[in-house]
Formats: sequence, structure tokens, C-alpha cells
Amino acid sequence: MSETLSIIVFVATLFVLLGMGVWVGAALLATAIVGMFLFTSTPIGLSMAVTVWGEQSSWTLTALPLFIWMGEILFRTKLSETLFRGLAPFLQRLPGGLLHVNIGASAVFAAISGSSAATVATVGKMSIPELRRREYPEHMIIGTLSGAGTLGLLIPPSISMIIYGVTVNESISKLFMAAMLPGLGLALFFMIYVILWSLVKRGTFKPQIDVNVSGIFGRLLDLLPVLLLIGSVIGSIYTGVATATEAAALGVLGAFILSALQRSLTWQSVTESVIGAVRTTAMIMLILMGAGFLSLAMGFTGIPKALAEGIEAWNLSPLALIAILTIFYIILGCFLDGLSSIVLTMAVIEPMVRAAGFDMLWFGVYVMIVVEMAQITPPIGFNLFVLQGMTGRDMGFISRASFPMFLVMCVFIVFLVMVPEIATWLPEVLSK
Amino acid sequence: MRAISDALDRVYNIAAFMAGALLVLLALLILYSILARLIGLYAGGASDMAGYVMATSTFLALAYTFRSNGHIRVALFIQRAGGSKRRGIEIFCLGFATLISLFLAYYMAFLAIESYQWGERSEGADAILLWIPQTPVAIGAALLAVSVIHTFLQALFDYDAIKPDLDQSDG
Repeated sequence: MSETLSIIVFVATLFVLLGMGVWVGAALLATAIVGMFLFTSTPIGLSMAVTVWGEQSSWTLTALPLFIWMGEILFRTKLSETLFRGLAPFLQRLPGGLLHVNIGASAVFAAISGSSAATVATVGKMSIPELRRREYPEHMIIGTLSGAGTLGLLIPPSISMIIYGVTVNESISKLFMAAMLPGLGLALFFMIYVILWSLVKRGTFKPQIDVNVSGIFGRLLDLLPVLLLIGSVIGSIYTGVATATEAAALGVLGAFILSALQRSLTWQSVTESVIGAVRTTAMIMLILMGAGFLSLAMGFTGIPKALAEGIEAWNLSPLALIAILTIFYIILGCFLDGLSSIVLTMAVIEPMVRAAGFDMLWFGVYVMIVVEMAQITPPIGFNLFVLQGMTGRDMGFISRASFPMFLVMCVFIVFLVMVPEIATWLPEVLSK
Repeated sequence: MRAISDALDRVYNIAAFMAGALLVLLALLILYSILARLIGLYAGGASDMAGYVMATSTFLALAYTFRSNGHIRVALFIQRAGGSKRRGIEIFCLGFATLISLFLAYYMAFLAIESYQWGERSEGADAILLWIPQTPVAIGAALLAVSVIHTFLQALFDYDAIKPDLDQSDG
């Protein structure tokens, strides 16, 4: 069979299987098997077993189930209430009022949970009823939530960032350093948007400033354990005291203590958190198995190399390349979830991105943002699904409400390209 | 038939609980290695062990996750199909997944047997015999294959039991 035909068969296998609704992990494994069969004479099954075993038992990956578990424990505490009560008195004076609580609380929760859907669900649980009661416009409540929920992927610790790090062989600790400032920067961009919006609409938008500010010290004291937990998890990684895995284990311990302090630690909540964690882990790992083996097969096909050379020959400017990739990721996000998009594309475009001279830490930050942009656009978007369940609004309304946030993220991508130091500066300083 | 199905579901649940226990063990193992380092004890093998515990935990949870619709699939094109068309798609997907999961289970077992025959040890400080963690991993992969075949047979003969139209796992 000719080379071109082989490549067509290989790529078609992937898309047909995914489109037919075969489970992503199984579809990736199958495509890899086809690829190995067409392009090499290496024993297929044994290569698969060795690749899967090597990846699944690797030390780097152990941070993943632990961070997932930590998030599952905290998800079952009274954290959403604490965050709302603690942040509302400070943020309600800004133009836009309590809408900023959505963004601020998402940023804080993102720092203890690595998932954007969990961030949306936790923050929204408290803030949707509170904001509705004060007659904030529904589209702004939903928009700020779905937009700021994306911070879950960016602000460390982030599950997707660990997966990216494992896929491209970069240090998880350094990726967590790189993502911090962009995460805070994006939160700031969202807040600026809310301020501008409320200044434009100040004729019709007059939020009530009626959150009780008495006992403010008591509320700050309530926030303290959360902030301590964040500080110790992120701080121990940044100072180099602990690896990402060790920080995750400490985070699990901290989450238990916090949950006990809030009196939400029951036998039931513990078992639920454990089962929830192994279920999410198994889901992610099956995809990683497929992706790991597919990467190997992909190498034999020569597609990544050809793509890298092609891009080099075109001599694109970095901005043009990033623009193309952004559109590509948003289209891909119409079909695939964020996780699958990351692992699938990195198998193909990693050599290309390296050849184009991008810093892989910077690129990780970029990928997190574009993947999240795809997750707040229809037809597939986890944040949108979560909000649909929580507000009872239809998909069209939620998508339209999220669209301004999508534009804010586009602006932020341009900013990230113009000022790459926002991602690369912190890892450089901290690893000295 | 349903009785067998329920019994199998209990097996997947037990495996998931074992996976959960291993996750707890993983956390304790790492906390122990941190503590050991603080007081100057040697805990060099902990990082190898952690990887093996994680792999075992993951594989044991695969079947339960599959049965509780936890694995992600692209639902964009198939969600509009209903009735017998949807059933046909489900049978195709499950049949295909059966082949892949059997392939995976076969070779994970193959790997464990190879490691046993050659007496392979890990490269880390503790030099554990590799077949010891690889055996439960192979069992977990086999259990996944069983759960896929289980669902495949249900789609063929007892379609009402799985009701994919109510499936919320669209990614």
C-alpha cells in the first residue's frame, strides 16, 4: 500500500470511530493499532502493553488521582458558602457588584480544584440564587460563571495541566508556575469586562449593595483555612520543598482537615469522594492509555515530522501560527472534550510547536486557554452543560451569555502572544 | 439473565472499592515518604511503589467506570439517532469496544506472564518483581473486557436494561 493511502486509512479510522461514538480511549487505541500495523513491523500488542504499563505506573502521573481526590473532598464541603460570604463584602463595591464574586470565588476555587466543571458547580451553587434574588441580569450571572469557571484549568493545580505535562514531558511543577500569572491575569480581564459593562449599562443596572458587612473579621477567619490550604499546596511546589505529587498528598490531608473543621466530614462524604475520584481517574487514564500508544504509532507514520517541516517551510510568523492553531482548536472543540483535544493534538503537533521555537511552558498555558474557549462554545462544552443543569436555561441562552467571555479570552490570547513573559517569567525566577 | 448481570455489577463495584482503598494507600504512602524524609529515614522505594499502586487502582476502576457511563465518547452525531438506529450504533460501538478491550486484556496479561517468566524487577531502589503489580493490572483489564462484553450482550438481548438514550456521558 502506498504511503499516502496508509495515512488516509489511518486518519479516517480515527475520525470514523470517534464520530460513531466509540469511547475515546478505545478509539485512540484502535487507531494506534491500525497505525502500527500499516507503518511498522514492531509487535503491536507487546508495544502497547509496554507503553501503557510504563505510562500508567509513572511517578509523574501520581499527582493526578491525588489532586482529583482533593477536589472531590472539597466539593463536598461548605466551601461555596464560605467563599461567597468571605468575598462578597469586599467585591460588592466595585462597579458590577456581586458579579465579581463569581470571578473571585472561581479564581480561589480553581486554586484548590483542577477542574473547570467543578469550579462552575461549586461557585454557582451559592451565587446563582444569591444573585438572582438581587435581580442581577441572568445573562451576566451565567456569563461570568462560565467564563471564570475556565480558570479551573489554568490556575494551578490543574488536572489538564498535569496531563499536558505528562504528554509533552515537561515538569509539572514548572507548568504550575507558568500558569499562575496568566490565570490571575485572565481573572483580571474578566473583572475589567464586568466593570466596563456595568459602566456602559449604569442607566439600567443598579445592583443592590445589601450584603451584610458586619462580622467581617469572622468571615475573613472562615476564609483563612482555605487560603492556608492554597498557600501550602502551591507554596510547597513553588519553593521546591515538595514535588507536585507530594503537594497533592498534602492537599488531600489539608482538604480532610478543612472538611473536619467545617463539620462536613462524614463516612458517607469520604466514601463518595473516593469513589468519585477513582471514577474520574479511570476515565482520564483510559484516554491517556489510548493517547500514549497513539503518540508512539503517530511517530512511525511520519505525520508529525511532515507537519513540522511543512510549517517551517511556510515561514509563518508566530502570531499567524497561533491564530491558525486557535481556530483549529475551537473547531476541534466542537467535537471533542478538552482533555481529548489536548492529548490527541499533542501527539501530532508537539514537534511542530517545538520546531516553530515556542516555549513548551508558554504553549501549555496557551493550550489551556484555547481548549477552555472551546468548552464555552456550543455544541459541546462542559461548563455549558453544568450551567444548563443548574439554571434550567436552554443551551442557546447560555451560549449567548458566555460569548462575551469568549471574546475576552480571545483578547487575552493576543495579550499572551504579545507579552509571553507573563507565562515564562515566574518559572525562570523560581527555578533559580 | 438479570440475576447474572446484577452479580457481575457487584463484582465491578467491589473492584471499584478496592481501587478506592488503593487510592487511600497511595496518599498514605506519599505522606509517609514526606514524613520519612523530614525525620531523615530512607524511603527510596516509595516513588516506584506509588506508581504501581496507582496503576492497580486505575485498572481496577475501569470496569465500574464503564458500567456507570463514566468513560467519555463523542455524542454529537449519535445523540440524534433514536430507536433501532441508535441500537444499531450501540451494538457496533460495543462490539468494537469488545475487540479492543480483549486485545488490551490479552496483552496486559501477556506482559505480566513475560515479567514472571523472566523474573523482571523494577529499576528502582526496591527492585520489586514486576509481575506482582502487573497481575492485578491484568485482572483489571480483564474485568473491563468482561464489563464491555456484558453490556454488548445486554444491547443484543436485553436492550431495555442499558437505555443509552438516557446516557449523560456525552463529552
